[in-house]
Amino acid sequence: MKMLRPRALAVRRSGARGQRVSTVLWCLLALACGDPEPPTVRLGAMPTCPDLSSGCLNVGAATLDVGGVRVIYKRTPGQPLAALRMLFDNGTRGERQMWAERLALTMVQIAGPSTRTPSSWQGELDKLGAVVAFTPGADYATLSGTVAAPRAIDLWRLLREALRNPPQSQFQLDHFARLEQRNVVVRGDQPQLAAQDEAWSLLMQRTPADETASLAELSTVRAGDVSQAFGTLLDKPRITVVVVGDVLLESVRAEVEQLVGALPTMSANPFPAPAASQAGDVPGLAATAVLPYPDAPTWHIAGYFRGPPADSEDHAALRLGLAILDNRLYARIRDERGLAYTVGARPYFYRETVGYLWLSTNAPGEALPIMQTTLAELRVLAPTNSELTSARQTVRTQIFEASDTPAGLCATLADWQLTVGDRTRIDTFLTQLDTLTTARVHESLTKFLRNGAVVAAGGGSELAESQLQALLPP
Amino acid sequence: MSRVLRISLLLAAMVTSGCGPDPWLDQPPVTLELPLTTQVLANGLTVVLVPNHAAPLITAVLAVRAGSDVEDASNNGYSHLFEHMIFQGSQAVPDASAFRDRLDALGASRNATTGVDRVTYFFTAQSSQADEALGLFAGALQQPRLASASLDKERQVVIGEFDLNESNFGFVRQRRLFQLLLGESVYRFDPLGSRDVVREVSAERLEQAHATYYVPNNALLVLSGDLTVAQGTELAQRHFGSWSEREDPALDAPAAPLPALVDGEQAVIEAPISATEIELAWRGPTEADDPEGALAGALLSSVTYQGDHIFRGLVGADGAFSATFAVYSARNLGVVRVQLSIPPGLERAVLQRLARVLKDMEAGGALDAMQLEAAKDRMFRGHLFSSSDPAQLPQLLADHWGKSSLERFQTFEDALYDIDGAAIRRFARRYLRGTPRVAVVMSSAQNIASGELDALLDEESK
Repeated sequence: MKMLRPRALAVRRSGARGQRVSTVLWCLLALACGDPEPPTVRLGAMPTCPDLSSGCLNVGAATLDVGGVRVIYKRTPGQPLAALRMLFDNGTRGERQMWAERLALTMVQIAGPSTRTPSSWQGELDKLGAVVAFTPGADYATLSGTVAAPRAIDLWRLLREALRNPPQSQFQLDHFARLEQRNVVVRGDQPQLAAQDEAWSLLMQRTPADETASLAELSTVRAGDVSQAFGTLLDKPRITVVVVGDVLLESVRAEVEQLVGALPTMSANPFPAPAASQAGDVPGLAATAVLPYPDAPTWHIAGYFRGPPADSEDHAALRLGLAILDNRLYARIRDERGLAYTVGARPYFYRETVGYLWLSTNAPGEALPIMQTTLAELRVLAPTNSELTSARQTVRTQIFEASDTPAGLCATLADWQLTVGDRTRIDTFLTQLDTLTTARVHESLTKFLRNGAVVAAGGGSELAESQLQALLPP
Repeated sequence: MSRVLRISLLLAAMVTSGCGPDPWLDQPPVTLELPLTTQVLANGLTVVLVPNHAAPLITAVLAVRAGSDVEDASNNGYSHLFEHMIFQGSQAVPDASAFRDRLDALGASRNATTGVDRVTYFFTAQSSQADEALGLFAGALQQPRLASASLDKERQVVIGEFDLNESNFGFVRQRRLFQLLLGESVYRFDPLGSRDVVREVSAERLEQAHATYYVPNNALLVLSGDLTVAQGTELAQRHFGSWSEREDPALDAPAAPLPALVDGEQAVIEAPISATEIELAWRGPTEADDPEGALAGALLSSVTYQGDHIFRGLVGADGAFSATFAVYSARNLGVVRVQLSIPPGLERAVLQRLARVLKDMEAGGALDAMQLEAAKDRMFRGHLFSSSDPAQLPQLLADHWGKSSLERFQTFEDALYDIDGAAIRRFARRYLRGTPRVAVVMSSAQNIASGELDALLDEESK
């Protein structure tokens, strides 16, 4: 059956154009006259949200159990957009299973259900004004959607249709596998990405053979693997749904029930739950490597440090510590000496926090000793009170900035639920920022700026591996 | 003057195959209301205020029409280097460390970008800190401190940025492609700048550039977030009201014409990369000369990502790793670009397929009405989602203003939905069919020799 687009457009355009024209005229008038006294403006559909203003993110959020699926729901009255997230706590699994799950959810996002053609699926999303995205993750995978709040349930129904009738086309599978293959292959051509990938492999104690084997597994994934992957992904205890927006709770509950009711009960998931924290399992890890790229005019240094579990009290302290380290590295290497365009430190918010350091420099002989000294100082001396004050403001701004839209808040709540195991811990974390002392931050940095891996990739000036080893304490 | 801008968030009716009427059939369009206030201060500075109290944050964006498009071979890179110097302090806070420490203490996330049409400075801070952060930015923008020592240090940082980019083969390829496409005018499309210019520029020359372009009547200030119109007006007036109006740099004057283009110019670059990368480019529509063509080109780009468009057939198990068709339009420059990433050994097969695809596209885009409407809906959705985000909206406004005017933002929906199949065909006729094309091939071995590419494409398209 053919889609009736012209009719849809007629409805849309007749509904909006008149209002908009008047707006344009007003705007032009304002430009022409330069009216210095604007009248008071009604805030329209953008209401004050008391939650962030009070310094909390979780006010008004609720967690429900709907047929064995965890649902986090937060209503934001008056917000024009709503956000949905379905998170799959897919745990540790082999490479083949990992690729199959990744391709399965990519196909849902782009190709939609087997009951529709890909263009019909995309057309429906376009007509609905919705964005659907799939994000693979180190700990869990996410299928997310954003849409106008009154259409949130319509979007959910489309996603439900796709998950209940998963796509199975071998042609599409080949297409998406090809794109994944390219992503992996081409990353190695870029020294900056190669340094990151190699450092990560060293941190995770993977070998080049592991990486080759992983790529080989990708090319063996077949439609049957993808079908099976849906079966293991849609295991109810592993699913979390998060809804943020001006959507009625009753509607959310009814829709989730409809999806959950259709899911088979799995007696045992063949892929085990995520392993317990591995932090501290590799004491003394101090891996380094130099990857020459003779054509590159600069060096890219990437380093990863194993941090505490995200639910540990050390997490907030390390996060503040890395903000302080970031400021010091930027100030000393870039702002005071001009030795790098990009340099810094930041945490990765995984179940085991990972600290990340980076530096791109054409003067490694000068920049690396400064980085070494900066790291060594923070292992020995506590930061100053003013540094801690700045770090608190920075981290708080980052959290708020990431959460000031329904989609952002949805992601924040989902992250904390799936990473820490409790969404309410975000507020505990925000409170901790104000109570942690410089001594506590120092303790965390001393403890965690140790077990790590540092890799340099590039060319230009001389760089010896011993310069990287010096960044890691014995 | 203020208004609540209403733009419809989505459309209504749809009937889909096999599923019966969808539940949103006949529902009225949803509207997004943007409380957008536009003012012009006495000194000519345009100020847009957008209250949004979703979070206790304020985002400020100040854009200046001073990107690479206003540069020539002798000063390509001034805009970019000056953008860096803003963070080195001001006459009021001359110590660069103190300037940085004060911004750090406010917890303001901040950055700046230099583009073809504009330089954009921005920060997001908690609303209680935004006044001080805006004051620091305003001081540096109006009265920067261009000390020689800071300049010498910062030029090294920018050279580090050159090195960073040049260690990416994609950047090297792009720069060569634009050299072929734009000839001696390539600097106008290169916001990063010229290494030699950055090495040699003096503080005095930067001060002259600042005096020319950093004038309030050539700038846009957007304040968005947790503030009222009255508060925003007061902030803008207090921090920017004394900025002296000066002669307009006359950016609206006709842009210098580009040099003649030699059709079929090609470059082959040997590089140690895993795939063969091939790029083709044509001169495209500009926002100043052909805004309809610019929008039609952007829509055609979007269509080529749809699963059922012929362009997608280039990618697959026996084809390319990836294939993109993109149209980028700045105020006075436009580029149409095809990028292919191909497994070694499949170059000829993919190029032969591309020739057939391009032939169809040259005839009118190779799209049907449904694909075009879906592309419009998708582009409009992106526009609305960005508009609803208090941090993204100021950037979106600056983008429209830089390319054209604020009116472009206000009329975007009308302009977008006015594009029809005829407009796409006009785009294809004017910018694809029979127009000069350049190409760059990058490969670890020279799988495609210079000159061979055109022969392959021409042979197949006959």
